[in-house]
Amino acid sequence: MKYYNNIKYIFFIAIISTFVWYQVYQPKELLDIYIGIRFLSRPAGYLWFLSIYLLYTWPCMGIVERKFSEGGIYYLVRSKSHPSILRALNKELMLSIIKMEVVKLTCYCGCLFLLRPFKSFHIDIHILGACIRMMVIMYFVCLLQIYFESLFSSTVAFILIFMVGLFGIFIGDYIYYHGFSKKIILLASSNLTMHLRYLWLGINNIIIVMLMLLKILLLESILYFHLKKKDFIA
Amino acid sequence: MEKIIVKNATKEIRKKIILDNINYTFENGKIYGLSGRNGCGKTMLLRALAGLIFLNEGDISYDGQVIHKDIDFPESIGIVIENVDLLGQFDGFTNLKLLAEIKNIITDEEIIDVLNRIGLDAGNKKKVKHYSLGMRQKLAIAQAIMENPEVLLLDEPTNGLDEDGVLKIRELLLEMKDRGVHYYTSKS
Repeated sequence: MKYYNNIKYIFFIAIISTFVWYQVYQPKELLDIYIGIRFLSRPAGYLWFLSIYLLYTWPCMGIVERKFSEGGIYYLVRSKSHPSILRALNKELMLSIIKMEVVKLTCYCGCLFLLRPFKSFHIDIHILGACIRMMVIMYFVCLLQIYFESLFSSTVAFILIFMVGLFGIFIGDYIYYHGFSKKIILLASSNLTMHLRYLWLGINNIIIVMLMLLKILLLESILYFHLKKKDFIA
Repeated sequence: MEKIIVKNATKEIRKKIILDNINYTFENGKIYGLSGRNGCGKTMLLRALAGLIFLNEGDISYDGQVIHKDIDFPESIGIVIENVDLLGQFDGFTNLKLLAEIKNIITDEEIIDVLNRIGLDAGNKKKVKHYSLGMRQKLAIAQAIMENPEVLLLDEPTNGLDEDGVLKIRELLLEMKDRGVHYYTSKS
């Protein structure tokens, strides 16, 4: 299977993320979660995810290029063609990408969890702003991760970036929502039954997986055209 | 693999000509050495032979198959490029295993055997980033030869090796040649 290794990791992430979502939301059903389920059910939510994945492309390409100075060419010459570079660098590269995904999802879920006391706030108007802000923050988180990885071991970088990401997002959102506290609107609870909500949650996770696949395909295509025009080592 | 033909190979980087109309035919079963002053293009030629750079003019073919036209990289090649380390966060064996998993043509035992023959302890869990220069060089050579490639390109293969290490590598390469590995292109 062409993307076997990637899919393996992606499903791992999907399972973990699903677990986290359930852990966060299941115990307090009444709070549930406009900022969670409905967040993803709206175009802005998907836009956020899609944007994140598109924006990942650049740092991921940075990782690939960096890896070429760290023995990546030894992987490269064993692959049969340029498009298979990602597969050749699979383990190492995907590990980096996945770490970023884990960081992102953990930060996001952690943020939502911490924000539960402030559960009711105006989403309709501000959700896009929140999406963009979180997207920008996470993008810098990715860049920071790459930077930290160049300075420290992967594990230390992971811990550092996790702390930075979580802290940054929490503080950012705390300030944001308190700053806009006067505009808070109490939202009615969802009309969906719990079963339907969980079904919807499952569908959302499948969509996340599909987006991850899309990202990998996109990344590989861009990388192919990028490398077609560029020497590996000049 | 019968022959490698370099035809009118020209490479220009930032308006500076690195390879200037190189023509040569590398024949089966021989060891070639490239020598020259610093910056004369020895490494660049090796990179071109490995398919790692795009030539501005000319082409390189392996048994009639032109690099970057018919194939992206030679089918069976082992390379050591100067100043390129393996992944520092893993030990030597893990690095070789990760590489070997791409083609999946050698076993763990064969990897261990190559490491032992080259003078590295396969059971050593030390991370590559903590390796000495000589150990890194040995590991790089090990990854190049472990799959018995038909073509071997070694850039400064004895860099950082002590006298004993140089002799060991030399013996290993000659032994490989006798076993039927077709090409060695090496420089020092």
